[in-house]
Amino acid sequence: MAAVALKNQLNAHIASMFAAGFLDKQFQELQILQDDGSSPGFVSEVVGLFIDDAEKITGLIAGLLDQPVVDFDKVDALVHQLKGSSASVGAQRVKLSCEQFHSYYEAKNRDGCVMALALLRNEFYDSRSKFQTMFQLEQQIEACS
Amino acid sequence: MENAAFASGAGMAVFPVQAYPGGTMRVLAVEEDPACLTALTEMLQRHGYQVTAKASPEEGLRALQENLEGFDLVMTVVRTQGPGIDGFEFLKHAAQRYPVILFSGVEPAETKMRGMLEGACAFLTKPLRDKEVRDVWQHVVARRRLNAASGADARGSNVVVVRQDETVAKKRGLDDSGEGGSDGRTAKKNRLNSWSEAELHAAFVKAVEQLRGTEGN
Repeated sequence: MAAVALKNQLNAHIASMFAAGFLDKQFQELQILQDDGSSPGFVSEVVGLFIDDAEKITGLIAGLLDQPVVDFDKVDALVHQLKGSSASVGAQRVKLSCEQFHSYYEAKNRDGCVMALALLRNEFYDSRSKFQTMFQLEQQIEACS
Repeated sequence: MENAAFASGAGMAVFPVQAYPGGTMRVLAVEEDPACLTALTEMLQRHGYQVTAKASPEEGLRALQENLEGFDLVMTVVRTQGPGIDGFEFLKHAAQRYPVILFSGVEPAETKMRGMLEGACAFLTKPLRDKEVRDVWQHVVARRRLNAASGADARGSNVVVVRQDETVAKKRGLDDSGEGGSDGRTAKKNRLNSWSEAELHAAFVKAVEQLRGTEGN
């Protein structure tokens, strides 16, 4: 009974993440891979890798923007990397934030980039929190089984 | 080969990759992003490919050099952050021997064109979709057909292997001067050797299109 309630809670949580734009179709593809294959923890593994990598990348971007002379090419490369990474796990809001960054580093606008990074980090932290709730529910379901 | 994969009356679906002559198709997957590499590896394995995953083009190049006969297809990310070569540099080495699929985030058309002109057989955009990954075997088949049509051994009597220190080692067959011997086979290899990369690539693209045109949907 507890497991059923938790599963319902998990499904509702994931549905709300899709509805609020945190997730897109790519996440569904990962879920299908997990459901069809023999790797039960696949989605949490991939998303966990994304979260660690995104944390590192946003830190590197912040470091670059802190320099007296900003290397915008490196900022571009890091944002590109994060965009690809977020797209690969279906973290839509993070991906969209990366797209918004583009015009600022193209214009070599440091202040714009700092603002864009703050927005990006907000979206990333929100997404991370949602993913962590998802994983906690999955672990509770696993514990009940 | 493709027909065998869809033979009627088969008790279980045989994926094209498993019907590949010589056994399961072997893919070298190269990607710096650990999440993307894990997802790509899982997708490939789910579709029956045997995967060697490497976290950088530098490591990918070492894997190729250590095991020249060990792969049928290379998939590599284009842009890298780490030290060493990037995907384009890796492509130059790998495309001489293997079909290479490049992938990246959204890139301008010029970047994709560069990849294709420098020898890639496809340029995919992240996120990599399961259906795209499922069908990568077609590039291996197309390449083998092209090689067979041109009379060259797919495993390289006229293939040049470039070592990491940029010296060039010749595989069996040709000499530098392009001078033919009285042997007709040598003369044929020398004619092939005179094809430009653009001509070879155009023939390859045509073969892929023909293959796509004959497969069922």
